[in-house]
Amino acid sequence: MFASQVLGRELRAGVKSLLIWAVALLFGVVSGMTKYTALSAAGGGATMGELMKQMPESLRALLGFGNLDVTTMVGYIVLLVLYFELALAIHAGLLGAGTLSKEERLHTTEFLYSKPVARFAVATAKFAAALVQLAVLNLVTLGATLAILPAYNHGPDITSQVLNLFGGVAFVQVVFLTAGFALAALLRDSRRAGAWASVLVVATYFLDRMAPLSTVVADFDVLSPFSWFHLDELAAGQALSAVAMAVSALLAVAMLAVTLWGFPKRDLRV
Amino acid sequence: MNIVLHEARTLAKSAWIWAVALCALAALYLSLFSAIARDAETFMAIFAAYPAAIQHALGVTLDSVASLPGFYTMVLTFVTLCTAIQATNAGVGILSKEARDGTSDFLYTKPVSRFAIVTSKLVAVVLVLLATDVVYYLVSSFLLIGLANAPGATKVDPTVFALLDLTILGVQFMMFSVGLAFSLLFRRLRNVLPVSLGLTFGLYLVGALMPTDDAARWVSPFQYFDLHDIVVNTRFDLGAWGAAGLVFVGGLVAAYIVTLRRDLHVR
Repeated sequence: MFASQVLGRELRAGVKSLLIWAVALLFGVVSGMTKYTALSAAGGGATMGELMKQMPESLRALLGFGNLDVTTMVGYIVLLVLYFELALAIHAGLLGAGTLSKEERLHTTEFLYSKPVARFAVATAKFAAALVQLAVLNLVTLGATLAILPAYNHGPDITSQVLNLFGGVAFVQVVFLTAGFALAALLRDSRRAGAWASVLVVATYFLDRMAPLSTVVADFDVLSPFSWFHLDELAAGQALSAVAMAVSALLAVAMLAVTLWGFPKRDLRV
Repeated sequence: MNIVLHEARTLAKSAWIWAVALCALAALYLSLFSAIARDAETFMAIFAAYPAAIQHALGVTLDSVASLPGFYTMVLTFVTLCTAIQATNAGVGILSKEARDGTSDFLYTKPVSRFAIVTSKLVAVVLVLLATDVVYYLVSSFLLIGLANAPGATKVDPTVFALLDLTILGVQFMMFSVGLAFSLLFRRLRNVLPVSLGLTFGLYLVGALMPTDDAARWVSPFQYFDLHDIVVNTRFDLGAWGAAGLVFVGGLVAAYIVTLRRDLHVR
């Protein structure tokens, strides 16, 4: 009974920040799409795409285009999704770290953990609440993108590609959410977990973005969850990679297990 | 003075990590310069055969990649973003932390005026931000001048690098002020990091995605300084610096007005 109260409490507590994140991402979707008009008009269609193909990979990576033809709708969407993915991953990492560590930050440790409910149950309820918020934010961004798409897309329908792109992002979100939880569960000073989680997100993001620039960096790219789903392939119509899904799911389960195992054992800060 | 020292010491714990990370980021990117410049040169030959309209659409960016100052503006985008995160985080955290940690009564009952407390805290942040910048300036100018003087490289006026590096300071101080002003909206701010990261990435995205006409440019601190203009004209943009100064002072004034009158949160 009590665990469901924790779930409800966490969901209510998260509404305000979720709203702010959602508004920010909606703004990103709208302003991002507006810029497409300018880019596609300047490019002059096919010629631009052809030129892009001849550009060396390092240059394309530096300009932020990667393997994408940003003059096509789907290529441009990937460019935007790269921004959204970073925002959603940071949200996930902070959310995971914050949800579990907030009692220690707000000095409410004694209040919550002296209730007749196991820490395991509290952590599980907190995780469920975070997962719901994660999904809502992903769906809001996806919904906004799909809703605004017809106004700009004059080519073939790309709904299924967009769905796949956001599916890949969802896996990345879950990985960073569980990483945030694991950090908050294991660090002795869990108030630092948020900072470490965001360092993790930003560092792995930069690692993936720099990989095409250098073979040395490229060797380490596989360590970055951002590299597991190849957004350009998803945009080209391929399905989500089974290996990538399995790896992210396993990693997420492992980190959740570490959380649920480690958190009940830790000496909480009061 | 005690307060300045205490706050500076607290901030310094993370500041040296920031400084090292910034230098590493710049070094990593700059180490790739010669390879990328070679790629760019080759591509420019292909590029020249394309219609003028297309050359115009991409030309500015491509042209600059092949030169060291142009390449450095791209590196600078990331460095600026990182220093902005540091500065915003300090801004959001510095005045709100007593309410968050329940130490308002401890600090504000000391025989020191609120004015002096706010001043000390602001001075501490400014000092730490400046120190971070100085470390980065030393390392980056060392790297840049080394690259510019490498055998076969095109000679570059070091003033360009100085002007470019200086914009970091401008953006940093603006974002510090923005964070500071934002933190005043809450009587008790529970969590700093989501607010500061949200502000930084939010304003960065707004800057990246908004059309860059004259009015929209002043919405995001990341768009105040025109790096391309600095590279081409080696110009100190007095207007941008003036606007940056206004933003900076505005946040400070707001901090004094609100904190001197506020009914502080006491646990």
